Amino acid sequence: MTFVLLAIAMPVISCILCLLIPKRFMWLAPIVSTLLMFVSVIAAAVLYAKGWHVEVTAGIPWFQAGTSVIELNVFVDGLTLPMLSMVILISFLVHLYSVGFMADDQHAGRYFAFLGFFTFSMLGLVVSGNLLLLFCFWELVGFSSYLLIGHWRERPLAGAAATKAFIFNRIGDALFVVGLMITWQFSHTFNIPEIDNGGWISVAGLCFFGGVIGKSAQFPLLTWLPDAMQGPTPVSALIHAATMVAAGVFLILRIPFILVPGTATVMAVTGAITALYGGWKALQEYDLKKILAWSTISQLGFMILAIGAGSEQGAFTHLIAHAFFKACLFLAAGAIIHSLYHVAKHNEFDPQDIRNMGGFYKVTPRLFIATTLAIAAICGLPLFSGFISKEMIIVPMFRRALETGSFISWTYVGVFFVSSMLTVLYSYRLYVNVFFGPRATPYADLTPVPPVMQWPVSLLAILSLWIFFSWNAGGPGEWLAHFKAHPGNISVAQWHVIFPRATIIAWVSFGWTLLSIALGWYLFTYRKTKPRESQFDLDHVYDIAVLTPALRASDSLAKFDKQGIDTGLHLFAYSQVAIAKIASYFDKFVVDGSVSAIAWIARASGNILRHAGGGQVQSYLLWSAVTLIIFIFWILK
Amino acid sequence: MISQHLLSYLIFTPVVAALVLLALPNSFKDYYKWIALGVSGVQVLLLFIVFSSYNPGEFEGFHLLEEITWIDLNGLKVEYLVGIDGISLPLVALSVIVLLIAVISSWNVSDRPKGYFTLLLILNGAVIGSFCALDLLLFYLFFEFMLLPMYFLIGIWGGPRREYASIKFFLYTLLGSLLILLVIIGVYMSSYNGTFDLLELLSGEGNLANSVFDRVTPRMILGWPARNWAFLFLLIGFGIKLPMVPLHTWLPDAHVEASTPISVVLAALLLKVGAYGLFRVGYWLFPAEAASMSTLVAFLGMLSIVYGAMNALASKDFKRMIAYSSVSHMGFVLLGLASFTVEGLAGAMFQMTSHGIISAMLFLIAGVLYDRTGDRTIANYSGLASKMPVYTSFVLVGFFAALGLPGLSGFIGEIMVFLGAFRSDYIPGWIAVLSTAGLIFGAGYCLWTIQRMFFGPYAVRSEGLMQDLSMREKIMLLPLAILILLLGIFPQLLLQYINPATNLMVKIFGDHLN
Repeated sequence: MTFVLLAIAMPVISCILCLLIPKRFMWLAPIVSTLLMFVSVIAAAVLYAKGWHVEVTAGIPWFQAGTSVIELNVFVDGLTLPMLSMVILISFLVHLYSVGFMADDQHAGRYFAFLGFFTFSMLGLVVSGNLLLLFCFWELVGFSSYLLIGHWRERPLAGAAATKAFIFNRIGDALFVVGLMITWQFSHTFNIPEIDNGGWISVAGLCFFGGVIGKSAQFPLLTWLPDAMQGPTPVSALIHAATMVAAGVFLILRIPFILVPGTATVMAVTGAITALYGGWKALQEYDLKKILAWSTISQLGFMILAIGAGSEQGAFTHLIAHAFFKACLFLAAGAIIHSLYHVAKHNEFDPQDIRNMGGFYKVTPRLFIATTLAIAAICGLPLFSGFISKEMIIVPMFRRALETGSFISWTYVGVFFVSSMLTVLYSYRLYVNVFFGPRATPYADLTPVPPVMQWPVSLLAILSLWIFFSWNAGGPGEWLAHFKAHPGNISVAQWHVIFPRATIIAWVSFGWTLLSIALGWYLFTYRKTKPRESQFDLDHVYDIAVLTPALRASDSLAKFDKQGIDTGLHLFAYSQVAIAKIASYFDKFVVDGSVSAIAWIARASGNILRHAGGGQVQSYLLWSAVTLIIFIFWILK
Repeated sequence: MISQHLLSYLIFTPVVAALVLLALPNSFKDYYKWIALGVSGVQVLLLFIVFSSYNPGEFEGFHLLEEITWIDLNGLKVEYLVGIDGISLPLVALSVIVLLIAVISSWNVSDRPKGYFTLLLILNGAVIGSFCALDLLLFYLFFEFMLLPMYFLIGIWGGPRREYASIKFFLYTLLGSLLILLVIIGVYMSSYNGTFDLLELLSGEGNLANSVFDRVTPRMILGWPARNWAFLFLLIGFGIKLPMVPLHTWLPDAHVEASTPISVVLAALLLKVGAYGLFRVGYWLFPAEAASMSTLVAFLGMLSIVYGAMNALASKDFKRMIAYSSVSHMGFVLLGLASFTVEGLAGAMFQMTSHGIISAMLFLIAGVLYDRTGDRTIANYSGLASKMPVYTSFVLVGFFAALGLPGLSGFIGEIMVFLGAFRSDYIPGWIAVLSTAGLIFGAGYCLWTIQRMFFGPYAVRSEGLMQDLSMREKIMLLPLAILILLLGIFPQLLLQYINPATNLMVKIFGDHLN
């Protein structure tokens, strides 16, 4: 418990210190915050050493809602610990990398403060013991993502991307809030272990999944993620590849009781669409970071598909594996872009376009090796993490398809293979374009990549090896496979008993990967296919179908507000003035000639009416008195 | 000694100071603001004493009661009865803080300062008085006494269209006051002892048989029970002040024309008096009727939330946008009130205080720009973040609090209202669900404004020296930002006062409803 709190507290301290550091000592900010993150890493390591099967719940009262008390509580179990350690480790490496990456940035203090705040929010999300608290951190990671995407405030595109990311997340979060409302009504507690199941859980589950769609960039709320690449690259690696976007997947695993059949199908279908769409878009993209972003979307869809199809364990293993190899790829991409940046600025070309790269294997051999490992992992080659996680996904999926024989289960298996192939294809294309082929630009004046940026990449590449996931390179073993998210999980010993065909499936999967690589070679090396940038963009659809109508509706409401309601009001006021005028004419031309007593009465009434439109205080008091008298007469009659 | 008449000191210090100020010759005109500041300082001290002598666990109901018979005239008995409970205490505290900030914000008023500060001080006493009054007629008097100073403060010290705005404000609120007055007289005439005493009226026992608001045999007016009419009148009357769509159109105009400190007081306090009155008078005296009309009230709340937010999205004027955001946020108060659950009511009350702080901050933020350029058009600014970083930080806090980011005070009120509204037996679930659209639109107008005005390359298309915040501006904004954070992270600071009071109210309502 102490170490959990220690690990969480370090980034907060880092955030506060970085915000308070005076301008003169700004160079201290990166060092201080990186060191503090290192303390967190040690705390996480201690937690590991103590063993994983701890389950901790502890809390203090936060505030009282109605008759129940909402707690600030933590819930640490076998699911939390790997996630917690992964977040801390990648955050530390990203901090370290940023020391080099942000060296020339004037606002590095702000950057490191927000990075610390993000890490804190993400860790809070992971250890939260109740759904409301989890939701708070859920929104806070979105907020820090907003700040970090918009770090370069002068860039108009960065501001737009930050806003878009937050609003897309908000759409999902509104649904999340509905889920909270349903849970509150039927369960009257938010404490995750205490929520009782009922028929309502399927509706609530769908609402929570709405939140997941926003946060994990699932179809249809996915276009914010490629735009979010406007942020600094280390931020993309940490937030938009490894941790925050995976929070959606984590949420489902945190509350696995929402996985009732209907909801699970919705998830699997959403994930399948996302996986295919993301892979397809990644194939057509030329911006290095955006390829990785679409790839992330595709991989997240893959995890959601796996959860929906019944492979929660595999999905979680893939989450962790993906976090390491994708962070590695992003940081490597950042280093390459970083080294090209000055040349590109001088010669006015886009440093992120893969058409401007090529032959990089000679320039930065260490990066080349690291990227090779990460690419092998994402393709799912044996001896790498991706192979194990993919096997853990496909084996239960396959078994369920065989058992039920239903069309939809076989569709999931089909989608799995197609999206695996897409993954291999876009990875191959990226890899070959960046590291091989002719040099597109002279490298004489490339900015060298400092070691502080190279080391994190190398370390992450090493973490993509099988050994960190399972002793057995061919399938699940001790380590991550052993997490206990919920009782249905299978231990390693059971694995081969339950899945006698696992080995065959692993071989099939391997063969399929080789086939995909061959196809990649044929398409991109032999035929030299240059995919056209796709004309279809979901954003256009949203523009036409949602954004424009919403803004138009707002505009017409504003017009209605100005004209509709006020026109009525003005008409009323004018009619009062008109009556007063008529009375006044009447007063002048008709009454003036008659008996003076009558004339006096008429003038008095005319005055009353005229003043009514004029806004004089006395006349209102008179009006009140008159109405009051009428009212009193009325009720006493 | 002092603790016996604590609330009276709080209410009448500014009134006395206003009289002193009136008596001072014009040669003292540089000291008027110091007098106003001094009064606010004294009030802050008094507030500390109030908090230290208020122990929510001690007993339920009202604390610091003061009771003197004021008018006793052949059965017409009006009492000077003041007291606070967990619902009014946060609002009193809010008033003291906001009025202090309003004085600081008025520091550079040079046009007829005597009138200005006198009116501000009268407004001060009237606002706090209406949060403390427990006698209906006394409440009404304080309520009306806010109206006049506000009318002049907008009409004399306002912008170019101030006359239109102030007349509109006056007409609207006068109509509301009239309806409220009718009900108050009806209540008086139906009470057994002929009393305006809210505490006595709440129990509902002293109800005159066959009177207009008789509970047992309802009097029908136009085929509808008179008590229902009464609640409807109060809903309209206080709804205008709240403001509730579709009775809100005075608000954007009044805000756009009013000067910054007046906008701050208007948004942070006067709207709260409307909501507070609806609760204290409408819900106290007519709980069964309120419950039967809960769907209507909740629907109007939802309408205010969504309609206000969409109008804010379409606003081209910075201040107008903030004004509409107030409409949207006050919708949550209506929704919470309609729920009749502890968390919904407590959420509504929390939202009132929280919105008071947030709206004060937002209007000060708008004032900062207006002071520099005299231009409020959103499209005329861009990239302010690079030129005014400190200002931008405050803007981020204010706007993210407005859109309900967890950790800031706006979130707590909203989520509690949502939880209570959905759970409520009196509101259909779809109203609560549709209200969540306000979360999306809220993020939309807040972030879109930030994006247009603060991100991108620096450009300002109007005259003026754009420099970062002055010390005076920081002094005003910093406490508000701290309060927003404090209440967001430790909501129990307020809820420890609010919860017992709303618990009690729900219990009493329950007795009435069964």
